[in-house]
Formats: sequence, C-alpha cells, structure tokens
Amino acid sequence: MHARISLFAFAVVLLALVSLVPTLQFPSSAEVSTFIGPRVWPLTLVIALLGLGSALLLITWRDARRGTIYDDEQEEKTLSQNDPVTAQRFTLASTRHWLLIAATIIYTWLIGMVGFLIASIAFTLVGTLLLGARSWRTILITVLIATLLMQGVFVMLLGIPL
Amino acid sequence: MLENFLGGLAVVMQPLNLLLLTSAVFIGFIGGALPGISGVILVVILLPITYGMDSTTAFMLLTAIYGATVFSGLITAILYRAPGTPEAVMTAFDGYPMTQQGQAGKALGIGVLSSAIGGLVGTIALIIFTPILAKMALRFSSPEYFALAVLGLTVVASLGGRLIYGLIGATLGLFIATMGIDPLTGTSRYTFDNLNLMEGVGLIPMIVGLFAVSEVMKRALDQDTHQPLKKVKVKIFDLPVLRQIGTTLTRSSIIGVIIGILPGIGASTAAMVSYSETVRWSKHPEKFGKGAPEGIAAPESANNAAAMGALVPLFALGIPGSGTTAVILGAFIMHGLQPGPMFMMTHSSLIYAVFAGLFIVNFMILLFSKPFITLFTKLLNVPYSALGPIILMCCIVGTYSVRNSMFDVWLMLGFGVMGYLLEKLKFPLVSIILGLVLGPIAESELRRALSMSQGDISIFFTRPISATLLAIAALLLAVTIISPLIKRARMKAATP
Repeated sequence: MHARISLFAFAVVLLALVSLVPTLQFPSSAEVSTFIGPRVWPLTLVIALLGLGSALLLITWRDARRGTIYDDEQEEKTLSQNDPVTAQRFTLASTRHWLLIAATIIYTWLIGMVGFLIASIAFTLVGTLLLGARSWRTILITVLIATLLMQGVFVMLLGIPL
Repeated sequence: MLENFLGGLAVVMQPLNLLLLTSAVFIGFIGGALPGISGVILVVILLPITYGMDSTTAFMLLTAIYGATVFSGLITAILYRAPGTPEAVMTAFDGYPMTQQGQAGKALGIGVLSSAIGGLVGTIALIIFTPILAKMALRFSSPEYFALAVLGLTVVASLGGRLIYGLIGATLGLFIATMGIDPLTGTSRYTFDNLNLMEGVGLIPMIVGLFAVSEVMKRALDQDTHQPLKKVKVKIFDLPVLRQIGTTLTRSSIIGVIIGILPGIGASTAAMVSYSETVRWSKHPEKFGKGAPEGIAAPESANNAAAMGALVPLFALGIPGSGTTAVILGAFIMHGLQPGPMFMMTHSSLIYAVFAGLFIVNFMILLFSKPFITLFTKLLNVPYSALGPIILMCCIVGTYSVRNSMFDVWLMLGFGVMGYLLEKLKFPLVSIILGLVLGPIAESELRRALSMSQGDISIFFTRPISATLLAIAALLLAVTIISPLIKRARMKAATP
C-alpha cells in the first residue's frame, strides 16, 4: 500500500511540476484589463497540488519507515487471503477487468469504423463472455437487449443520432 | 408557496410526467436494490439521456431516482446483509437478524413504511426551508458566493477516508476546471491548441468515467455470491408495530432533516446518528443488533429524510449537500441552469414541479414497494456478466450523445481507469467532482470580489454573511481534523 500511495503522490507532484511551465506563460494581472489575471488562480492551484502531493509523499515515507499499517491495507490482506481469485495472478478471472477495458477501447475504435450498432453487438457478445457468461441463452438475451437499447431507446425514443 | 406547490403538482400529474415518474421510481428501486449500483452511478448513467429532455422533466426524473435509490438500499440490506446503498448500512444491523428469524416480510414492511414517512417529512422540510434560505441568500454578492463555494468545498472533509486525499481531489477538480477558455479574459488555458479542450473538460465524461466505468471494472473482479431467495410476504401497515416505532420515526425523521440540510454530512451519517440516539433512548438497548424493529425504523426514516434535506442547500444556495446532490448540481449546469438564490425566482415552476414529484414519489414507494420486492427476488438472479457490458455501452453512447464527440468518450475511458486505480487507494472520487463543479464559481467570484475591493482580501471578512460562511467552513474543517485526534487520545488513555 505504501508503494501505491507513494506512486500516486509522486504522480500528483509530477503533474504540478509539468503544469507549472504552461501556467507561468499565462498573462499576468498587469497584462490584462481585469484586476486579477488568468494566471493567479491556476498558479495557486498548481502550488497547492505541489504542496499537498509532497506532503502525502512525506507522510507515506514516514509511515513506511515506522511500519504503520493502514486499516484498508489490513482489510485487503484478509480479503486476498480468503479470495482465491486475487491470490492467483494473471489468470482470466484476475485480469478480466483489464481485458474488459481493452475490449471497451477496441469497441470505441470500432465505432468509428463500422458504426454504433454493429460495434455494440460485437462488444456485448465479447463483454458477456469476458465477464464469465457461458450460457448461450444469457449471451443472446444480453445482445438482444443491447440492440433494443441502442435502436429503440437511444435512436428512436430519445432521438439521439448515432 | 401553496399556490406554487399546487402548480407543481399539476405539472407532475400530466400523464407523460406521471409515467416518467413511475419509471424513475422503478429504475431507482432496481438501482438502489442492486449492491454496487448506487444512486450516484444511476444518476450518472441516466444524466446524458436527460440532455435531450425538457429541464423540468429531466430533474423530476433524476431527483425521483435519487429518492427511490435511497429507499431501496434497504431490501438487500435486510435480505442478504448486503446494503444496496451506503445509506442502508445501519439497516442491516437489525434487518438481517429479523430475516434469519424468519421475519423478513415484517422487517421489509417496517423499512418501507419508515422510508416513506422519513421521505415525506424531508420533502415537507424541503418545501418550507428552501424558499426561506433562498430569500436570505438574495443579499449575496461576489464575496458571499466565493465564501459559499469554499463552504461547499469543505464537504471533502467529511467524505470519509484520509483528509489529504479529499484535499488533493478537490484541488485536482478545481485545477481541471481551469482548462479551456478563461471566461473573463478569453485566454486559452491548458488547451494545447486542441479544439476539443476549448470548452474545457466536460462534466459528463469525468463523472461517467470516474463512477460508472470504474465500478464496472471493480465488479468485473467480484464473484457472484448471491443465494437464491425464498418467497417473501411483506406487511407494511401493522398497527401494533406502528405504535412500537412511532416515537422512533418522529425523532429520527427530525434528526435526518437537520443533518441532511447541513452541507457534507449526508444520509449515511444521519442513519448512524439516529440509530445511536434510538439505542440511547430505548428502555431495552440490549435488543438492538438482534432484530429490534426500532433498529430498522431509525436509520430508514433518517436516511430518507436526510436525502431530501440535502436538496435544500442545493436549490437555495447552489451548494451540494452530498455526493449524489453534487452530481445533480452537475446535471443542472449541463442543462445550462445554475441553482442558487435567484433560481427560486427565475425557475420556480421547475423547482416546485421537482418538489411535487418528490412528494408523490414517497407515496409511490408505499404503493409499488410490495410488487417490486416480489419482482426483485427474481431480478436479483440476473448475472453481472449481462449487466456489465450493457452499463458500459450506455456509458459510451450517453457520453458521445452529449456533444457528439468521440474525444469525450476517450476522455471518459481515461477517467474510468483513473477512477479504478484511485478507488484502490480508497480515494474519495466525489471530491474531484466537487472541485470541477465549484471551480468556475470559486474562481470567477474571487476575481470579481477582489476587483470590487481593489485587491483587498479583507472584503471576505468584513462582510457579515461572507465572514459567517467562511467561519462555518473553517469550523467544519477544524472539527473533522480535531475529532479523530481527540478519539485517538481517548483510546490511548483507555488502554492500560
């Protein structure tokens, strides 16, 4: 957990540092007609992010050195000990959320190529299989509902041009 | 007020609106009853769909769904000890033991009745207090609006989890809100010459990604643990039980309304406080946790009353009282509306239609809950493998339809992955939304206020209303920081 939090805190600090460059290029209060220029507010926020990210990094490092265990870390340990899915890494069951996101990315790309309807039918088919459906009845009903939703609700009822 | 309310009632009674309200109650019932699909997620999924609707209809639909989800979280809490919504956590304490004792029908009946009474009390409070608070707020100028935005942002302190996460989340949201064209000077900020970013980051891709997509990813890993359910016979009006829980219902509904109106405390806290107060006032505190009817009546009446109470600051001041109301505030902005003191005057017909809709929803809960619970025992067997892909598809189509932009869809997927990773850290995602929603108000009012005072910061502390609001914000923040420290010190002192 400490490594994860440190990584997040580091990402916040990095975001603040990277954002500092374009922020400093915005016109200052002296360069615009309004009393407060467009730079003041974002610059304040970037500095706040830098401070908060650094504070989180320092707190996490201190806790790691002291060996502090967070409540959620304890909870997660118990869960992973009891749950065979999280205990086994790189199986279909333990990586299916990433596979589902990969399928969603392909679906989004496919929309531009073949249109919403065909892409949605293909995605629902793959999605239900990825999430563990093995009965063809369940898969067919899901695909049918997806098609009805797409054409019936979105296109016909709500008039959304897809 | 009564005239306006009757006008609202007439709008609600139009056949199409009544049909939509009934559908909203059913959608809310299903969403709230299925663990993992909270009120926030449901409102988020349906938000893009409401874009093409008339504003009055859209907000009647969204608020009705909100009300119905708070109610239906009790069903799985009582039947499976798996609360459908966070607000129903306390209900499981006495509800599930009653199910184990073969009294599921009685427990559900108490829950339904308590929810409807709590919801009605909350709705009446909403109708009475919103115009009063809005009238007071008519004296507001830029410093007061900035102070209000600050007060709204202090909600992050009470979202649960680590305070530093809430602060980072809110700052991140405020920062993302600065992207796009600066409305006061026309300067492009963080657009990197990308036309899609000129209007800034859309609320929809962010909300849908952070909440709905991340939830589907989380649920994709879960195993289906539901047991098949036996037939349940619900009895709502049971006079001896009503006599037993009458005092609890009155006390808890009042507690719920008061807690709901305070920004950032929310319906879950209201349920917990009212439960502990009921135990404190009870002659038989030893019965709680083992199937006491008052243990269901207290949290259910309080959480429904608080859910309605949380809408008071939203309509009157334009600040959200809870996570779901923050999303509803986003929905108002998406429809080109800004709730606040003037909103009561300019859009009174919309507000009173929403009030009347919520009023009717509580009666619908009483009317439809019995057949729904029967139907629900069958629906609960729908596997997530069928539900997940359909939710994702709705997210994509819904996000695309708002601005006809595939860029928004990609953005939403990015936020989805980000939300999933942040949830692993127990990060309060609502804090980012709060920042994004309140950011434009905070920045523009700060700049206007400082222009008014020629750069003198004391303008925020010398005006009574803005000084009071900032003092409340500081107090709320201080209480959140100090109370765990006191608790820790007490625990240390108690350990030998």
